[in-house]
Amino acid sequence: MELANNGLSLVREYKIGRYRGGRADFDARDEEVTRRLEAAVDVEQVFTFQYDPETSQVMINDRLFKLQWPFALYWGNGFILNEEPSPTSRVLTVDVAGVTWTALPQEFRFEAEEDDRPPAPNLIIDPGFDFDPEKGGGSDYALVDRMPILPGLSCRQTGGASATLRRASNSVDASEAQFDGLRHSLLLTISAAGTDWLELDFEFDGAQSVSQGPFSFALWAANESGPAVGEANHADGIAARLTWVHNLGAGADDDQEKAVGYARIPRFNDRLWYPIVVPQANETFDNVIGPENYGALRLGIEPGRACTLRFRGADFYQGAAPRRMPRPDLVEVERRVKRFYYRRAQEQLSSAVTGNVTNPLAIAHAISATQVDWIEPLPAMAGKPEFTAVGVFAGNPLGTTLAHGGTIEQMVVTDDNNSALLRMRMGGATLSVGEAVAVFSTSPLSQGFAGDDSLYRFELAGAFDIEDEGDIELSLDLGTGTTNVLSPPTDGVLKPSYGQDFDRPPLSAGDSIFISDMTLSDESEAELVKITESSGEETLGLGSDYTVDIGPPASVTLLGGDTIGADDTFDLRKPGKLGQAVYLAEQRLTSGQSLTAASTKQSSGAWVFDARQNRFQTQFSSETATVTALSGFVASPRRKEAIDELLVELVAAGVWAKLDVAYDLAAEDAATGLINWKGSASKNLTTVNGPTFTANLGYSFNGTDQYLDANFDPTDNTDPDWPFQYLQDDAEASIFVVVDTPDASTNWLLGGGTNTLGISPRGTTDLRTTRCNDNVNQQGTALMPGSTLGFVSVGRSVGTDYTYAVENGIGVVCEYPISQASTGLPNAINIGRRGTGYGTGTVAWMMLGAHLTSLQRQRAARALTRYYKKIGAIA
Amino acid sequence: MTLCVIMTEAEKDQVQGLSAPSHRLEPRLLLDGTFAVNIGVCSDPHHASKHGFLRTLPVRGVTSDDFPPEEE
Repeated sequence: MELANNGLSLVREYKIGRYRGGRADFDARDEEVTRRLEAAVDVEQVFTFQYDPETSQVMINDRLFKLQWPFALYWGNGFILNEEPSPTSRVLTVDVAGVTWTALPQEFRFEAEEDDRPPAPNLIIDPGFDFDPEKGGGSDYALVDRMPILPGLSCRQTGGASATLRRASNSVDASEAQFDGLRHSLLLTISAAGTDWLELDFEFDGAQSVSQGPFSFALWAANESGPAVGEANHADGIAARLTWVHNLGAGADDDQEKAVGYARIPRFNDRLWYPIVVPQANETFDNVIGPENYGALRLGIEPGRACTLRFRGADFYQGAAPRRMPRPDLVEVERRVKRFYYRRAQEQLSSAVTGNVTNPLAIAHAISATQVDWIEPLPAMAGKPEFTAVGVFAGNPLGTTLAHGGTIEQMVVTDDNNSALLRMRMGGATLSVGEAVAVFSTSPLSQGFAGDDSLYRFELAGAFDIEDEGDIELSLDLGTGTTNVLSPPTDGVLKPSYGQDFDRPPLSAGDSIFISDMTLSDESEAELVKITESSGEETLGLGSDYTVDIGPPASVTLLGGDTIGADDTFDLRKPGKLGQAVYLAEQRLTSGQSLTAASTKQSSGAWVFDARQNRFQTQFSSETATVTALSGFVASPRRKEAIDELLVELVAAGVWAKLDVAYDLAAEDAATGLINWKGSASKNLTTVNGPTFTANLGYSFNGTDQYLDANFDPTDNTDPDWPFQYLQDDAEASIFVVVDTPDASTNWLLGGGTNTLGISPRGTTDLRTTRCNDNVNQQGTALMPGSTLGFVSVGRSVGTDYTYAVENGIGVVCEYPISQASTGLPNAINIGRRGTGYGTGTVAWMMLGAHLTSLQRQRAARALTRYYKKIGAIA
Repeated sequence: MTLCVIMTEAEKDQVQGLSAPSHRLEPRLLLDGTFAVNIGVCSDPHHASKHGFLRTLPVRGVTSDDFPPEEE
């Protein structure tokens, strides 16, 4: 029978080899929470063990047992008992007597290794286990489980009848306090059954271990009062002999025996640990383990006794800087360890929010005031580090030559149980402004900066590859949500990216951009792009890293002394080549200047920072592009953004496609307010008798003789744009009213020629009056349920009745069915007039086309409301 | 009451129509057979071409009662 313990983690794999023609496997190949032991013995019985550490339940041959950790399953010596956990032995045995089990004990005995018998038991403690610290818990036991204490250690039974091996408890009590490195120990309990002494040879082969230290181990044994043997006294029950060979040369046997010990271990009621070989407690064999070292321990256990061995490794992970181990499996283990702590650090840091950096230069000031000569490794895993460090880099910090000539040599992630952060070895560096490295003795999240600012959040993002430190990604959030990811290069090309920038709301006042001389990648348009002048031809000649504080327009001063001219445009659409990079961050501006930005088109990756406007431009939807390109159309970039938002929504709602004409009377200039957004210039508005235009508000009418003529006759089938979508029984006419000042019983703000169409939202009697392709004024209560301002519409989809719809003042469009048969189409469309009736008030929007559904009216109303709020027409 | 420039039908014919692209005058008929256009057009630069003539015409206040009733 062979036992192979591939590692000391929860994910272990035991292999019980052939025995008398049978086979048993203990395997946990899938999930660490499930352990399975399948025993196919020569009696053709299959026994299945499944253990779920989360529920402490074990399934044996489909029977469920509740276990209490620590526990052990004995399959040696013929029985498995079910008793209450012993407070001294900490062993819970399980009774499976109800199962067909009688033949099992004999079948699981260990056998001496002979030629005609199965292989001798062999316990191999191998570092190549499936290590995944993320899946483990945070207890000491879990840590013990995960520590590859003694790579190269093996165990082979050389005598005796039977034995059981189990992982022993790792609970810490006073008697174990002598071990200050408990988490670096493996405890293994061995019980001897049968009538002969159990003999086990443990060997340590340095050739299988790591080649670099420091590393040491010790072997300890304790008398274990195992209840299974049913004896009261274990005194003198354990003997051990250890041979330690040092500098074993090739071909040599035991030429340099360093220590030989023999112990008979008395019983200790308080379960003290006892050094097997060395008479003095705590004395260990401290050796730099290498391939030339060899150690052996022969352990004898009297039948019925149990012994727990402690294999102790020390200083293996304690503060050692990461280094590339020659053994690939150890590299992998270490990488996973680092990644685990790395992620933990990320979680910890992400959860801590203390404030904002309001001064983009504050960090630099703090850096310049920080003298960092060296960041020592952590003194111990259990302790807190002397320093934790945060790096903020405009470029790959590794290899960076610092001000005094030192370099950043390493970046590692470690854990101090509070604020696991990046730690840097900087070779005696004194940092300076521009190198952007901050070092703190405590978590920087609450660390004050110059100007009473504090770090908002420092987040590590992306994969951390211990093998290739260049893959470290730093994600720096210095504000209210922007994440700038700096990806130090793996190929010499720095590839910063915007991370969430393109998915977040527009930049707000106080936002900043950074400029550095990072070399850019052309892999993605979403990544950083070069800075070009407005001509798009030249790269700005910025020579070094800069933190840019966007101040007043046309007066942007870079940290390095250069300025961004008024004509400079930062085109973020273009893939970067060799040149400068612009990236966004939400640091507050010291000047308090507003940095307005594009709003909704981040997904296009089309960000253009226009220094002339001190803002970002965007690419717009095709509809916006078409509208804003109409002849005579004038709109500021900010207005274009608003227009784009409106059009995107109208298009998405299916409204835009239904329209024959649409007018934004609240344009930035009077002429643009007359333009038909649907494109037909013949239907641009004509002012009649001088209605008053107010920029960003609309056209106002005096109720006497003023109106706007749409030059649109829905009855004219000779019109080049005919057929129209506005039909007698499929029609919608809508306006957006921003000022409502009736001075007559009817206040026609929209009308259709001599009759047939009209909207009077509210007259002096507070009645609304409407027509929709009919010749009867229909009146109703105007003020219910809210304001008559905002979106007002009439539309019909049938000939028998139509709908009057009005936004009720709180964003909901209320509809009122009006039973009135249609009679014909209007022969003109006027804003501020119907026939011989006129209106007073100010209208910002008019559109006309096919019938809108209720949802379309709702979406149009909301979109228009947002639009006019955005441009300031309404509050 | 709206202060309006008052004109005869002949004068109205001379005034009405486009003063500039997208801007036109359209005096309204009053009950007394004259026509009126709000005096604001006299300062509207879009109608500058007609300002000289308009300023030769009388001006008076007009109320809704001066207009024919709104047709249904």
